[in-house]
Amino acid sequence: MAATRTGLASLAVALATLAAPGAWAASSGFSASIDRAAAAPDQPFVYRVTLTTSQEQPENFRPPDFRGLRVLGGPFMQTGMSMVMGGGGTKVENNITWSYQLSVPAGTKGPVPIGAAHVRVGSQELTSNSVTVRIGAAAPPPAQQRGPGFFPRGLFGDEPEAEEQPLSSQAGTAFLRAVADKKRAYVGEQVTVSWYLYLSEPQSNFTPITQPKSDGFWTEEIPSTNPQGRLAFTEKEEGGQHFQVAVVLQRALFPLAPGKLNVTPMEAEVSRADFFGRPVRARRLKSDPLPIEAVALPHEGQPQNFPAANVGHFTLDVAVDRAAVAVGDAVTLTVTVRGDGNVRNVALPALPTLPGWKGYEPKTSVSVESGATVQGTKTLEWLIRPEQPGNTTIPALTFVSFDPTAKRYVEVQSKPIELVVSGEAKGAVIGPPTAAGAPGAGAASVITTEIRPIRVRATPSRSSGASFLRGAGFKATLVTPPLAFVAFVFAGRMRDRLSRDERRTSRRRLRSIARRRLHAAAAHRDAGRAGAFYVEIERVLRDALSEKLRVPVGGLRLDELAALLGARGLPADEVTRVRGVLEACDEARFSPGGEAAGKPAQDAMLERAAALIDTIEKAPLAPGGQA
Amino acid sequence: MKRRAGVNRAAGVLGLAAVLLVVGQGRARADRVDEAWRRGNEAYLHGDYAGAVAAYQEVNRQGPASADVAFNLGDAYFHKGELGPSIWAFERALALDPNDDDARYNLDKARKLSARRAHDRIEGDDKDPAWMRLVAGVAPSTTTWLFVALYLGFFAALIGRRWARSEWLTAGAAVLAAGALLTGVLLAGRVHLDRIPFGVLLPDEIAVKEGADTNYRTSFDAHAGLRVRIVDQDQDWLRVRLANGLEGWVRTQDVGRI
Repeated sequence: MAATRTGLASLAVALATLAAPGAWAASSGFSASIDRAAAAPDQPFVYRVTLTTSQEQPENFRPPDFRGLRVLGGPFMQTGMSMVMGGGGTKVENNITWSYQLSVPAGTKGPVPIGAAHVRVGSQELTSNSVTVRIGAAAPPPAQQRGPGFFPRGLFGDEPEAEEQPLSSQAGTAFLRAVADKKRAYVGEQVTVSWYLYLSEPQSNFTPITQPKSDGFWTEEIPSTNPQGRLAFTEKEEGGQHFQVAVVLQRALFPLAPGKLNVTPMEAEVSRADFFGRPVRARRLKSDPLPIEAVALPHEGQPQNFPAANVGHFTLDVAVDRAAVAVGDAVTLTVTVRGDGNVRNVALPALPTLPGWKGYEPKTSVSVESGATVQGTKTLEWLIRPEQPGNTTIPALTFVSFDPTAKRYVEVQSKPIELVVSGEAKGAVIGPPTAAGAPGAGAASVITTEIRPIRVRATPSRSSGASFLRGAGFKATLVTPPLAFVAFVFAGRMRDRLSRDERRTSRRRLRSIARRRLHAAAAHRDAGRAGAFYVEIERVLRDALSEKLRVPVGGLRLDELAALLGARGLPADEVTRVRGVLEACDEARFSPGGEAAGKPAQDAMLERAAALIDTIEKAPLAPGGQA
Repeated sequence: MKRRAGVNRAAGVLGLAAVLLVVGQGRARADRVDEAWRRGNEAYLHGDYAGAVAAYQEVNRQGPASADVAFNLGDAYFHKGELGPSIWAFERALALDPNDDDARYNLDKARKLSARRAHDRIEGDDKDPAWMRLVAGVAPSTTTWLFVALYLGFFAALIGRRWARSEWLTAGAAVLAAGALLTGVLLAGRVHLDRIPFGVLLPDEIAVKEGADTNYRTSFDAHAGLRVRIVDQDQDWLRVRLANGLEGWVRTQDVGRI
């Protein structure tokens, strides 16, 4: 952006030079001008001095002494370059302009001359012409005084369209102004000084450089009312010009001694921001010094040793925290002064001597509210302690201040305070009666303050939780339950797995027994041994049941066996089937030669037994104890 | 076989003897603690505050942390005229038992007295963050035992639930888990708080230095009983931070750790 501006400037300079052949004559000139013929008091105007040279860079520029004028800003330096064709060649020239924003202070009479500026170019010392500022009505600068058109309009911010907008010749004006609410004040009286920033066009940055000094004053900063990080501007018309005005600083000053006092100028810088947010076109601003006359307080009616800070409007309040005390007990006497003025330095009345009482160093506290008028509270807390019984009166305390509005001394008085002291006279400090308990170094100032007595139980309480928390027991407590839980879960799973394995083994054994016995039964059938066949069937059935129930059932009667099976959860119809097969076997064994001796009956029995064993094997029977 | 049985019997006897020794030592220590406690109380009641301080400190060295001992020690220091150590002791009592109203009352009295005697203008009271106030508001014993009970209960319920799948046990386990979590957070806060080194300035007047040496300039003056946070240590010097943000160096012996 800056490069673009420089390029535009160069182009403008070149065009202006080409359009004005007469510029040859000024090619090595050093001339000064102002942007108007006459300036009204307090009306900003621009003074500029321009060097045109084809030689080396200039050195040691010295502006004129702007005596009798107020410098609002500057110097602002602008450089440019031009190519001049003619004379059989092209010549390159540098143009450098220094400009200042000035104003004529109010009350100035007659024209104000501005002397010559000086600069060194190579070995040559150049001196500019002098110019004179006439005092007159605010007027736009004449067209011929606006320079040869070296710079594009608005590049400086102070060269707008003068012809179209007469007042805008001052556009781009910025200055600082210090204003006191009074120029003459009593010693100790508040003077509020405000520093205002005036801007005729918006700026991006405001940076204070030098804070004003106010030697000879007690200073209280007045909190800014500006929003955080920016200035709050208001519109203001002044000298026919429109400004944005913001308060940049406010202070309450209290003269400490009579005489002519001076508040030094404030210096600050304003600038705009370029596209990238960098400050450009910075201007340094400086306020005027501010003289203030401090007047001595009137002698008439002034008490002896009157403290100079007791100026303002104050009230007095005196109170005690208890009216009845025991000997050795402490009483707090609070003396409070409230009002507006230099509260921080106000001298409070001294505590009168109280016979039989001991006083200690008071504690001071100040609370200041720094508004437009500084006001607040100053409090002294005296700790006093009776050393003997009886009644005591704290006499009325008197506070004298000077009222600058009424211009007279004002006296306020508190009411006397009665104190009743009970008990017996005793030593000044609490301390043990024995040598072993001699009080420590600090005991001399310890007041008898009631504290709650010691505990005399047989054994002291123990913060077992705190000890446990720091010990290894707590860590063990943290770790053990999860470990126990994991172990429990693991053990359960292992047990389940073992149990499953056991069932599988049992089933395998049951099948093996069944297979072996059924083969034996088939062999008996084929050999025509019906009795042996049924004995084998009964045995296979009882062995299968014994294996399944994990209880020997060989000696059980049928009704006992049926009851056991029922108790273990075998369905009733299956129990009936078991009973039926066993009864059939008994019947066949003890009634030989019947139908059961035939092969078909034995085949059927073999099938029934095999099916029943299969059912028993698959039946989910509950585990149990002895039959 | 007989030999093995003999070895087992000897091991059993030795184990029993060890247990009896430990128990006996514990009992003996408890007796010494109680004796020192009684001695401290006797000394205090007879106005021998220095003797009381010595006895209470002996209890502190030997016995477990006790709010009672810290409280009595604070009283003894107070009457001995040593407000800094007195405030430190009351702070300890409160740290052990935040509900100790007596300790709070006496601490307040000692603080006010110390502030009145001070020439500096440093305010001692600070406002801890909310979490610190919450954690410090419950006695460590309460938090610890409550957490342990809920924690053990939770795992017992979990184990029981595997034994008998009951909805009541499931709900109970959930409630216990929530309680254990809550008290666990509180307990974690307590442990964290215990690790933050707080202390109390002990001397009546103390010049807080800019560096860890007496040759450094005095940064500011402070008074007894101000609660500080210890932020650094350099040999015998501690860098302390006051509630108002002021920082400086003091000797280690001038700070009582809470």
